[in-house]
Amino acid sequence: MYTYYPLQVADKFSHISESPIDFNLIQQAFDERAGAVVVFSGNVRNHNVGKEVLYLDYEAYDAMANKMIAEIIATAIEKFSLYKAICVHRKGKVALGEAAVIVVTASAHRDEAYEANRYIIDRVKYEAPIWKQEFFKDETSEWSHNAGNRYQENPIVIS
Amino acid sequence: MITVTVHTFAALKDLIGAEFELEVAGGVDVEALKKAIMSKYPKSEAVLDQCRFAINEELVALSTGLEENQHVYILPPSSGG
Repeated sequence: MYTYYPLQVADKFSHISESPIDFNLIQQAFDERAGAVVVFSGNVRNHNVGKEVLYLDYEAYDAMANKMIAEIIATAIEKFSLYKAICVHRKGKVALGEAAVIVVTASAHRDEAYEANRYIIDRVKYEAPIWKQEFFKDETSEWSHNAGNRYQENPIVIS
Repeated sequence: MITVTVHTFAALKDLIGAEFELEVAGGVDVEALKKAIMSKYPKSEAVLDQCRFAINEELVALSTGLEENQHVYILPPSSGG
């Protein structure tokens, strides 16, 4: 019914990128059957926790992050009847205003594409083994914390 | 007693190092490993209580048994996006 199309990229891990995200990949989500393509770009903000940010540095457990993002996407495709779904997350240094993560969803109509897009980014932020370190103008740095997730599919229950 | 290799990330990595070997006794499960790390690095206790554990790219429960030479990955709360 709905097939998962792996992202065509040169990198070893299709969902984790060491180089800047190429926005031409949005085209890979275009599909004759899809009337709606929704794009989310999570970018680096110049302020956080009341301080001026210089840049962010992302660390990832690459293999596992790649695997988890692939699973989240596969679940989203099934759950929201998507034709295509793409998610690429940066690792390494990301500059102000630059994209740290992109989520693209394509469905017949926009309801599913919008909802699926939110589902994917929330789960990736909350579950994928990726961590951001913020570097501030005052020469301090801090490993960030993410706020709560509206999609408690895999709550962090440590048993 | 068995020896496993521990891999850490982010704030935990800064606290106790990115990768090291550790001997585990007691129940020889992930819980015992966690306690061994807390014992050796008391400052890691608060962060460790919030961490998930993974072996072979899969999340595992604290009750999961450990085997000699396994690689255990300790994941602090995610902050991607």
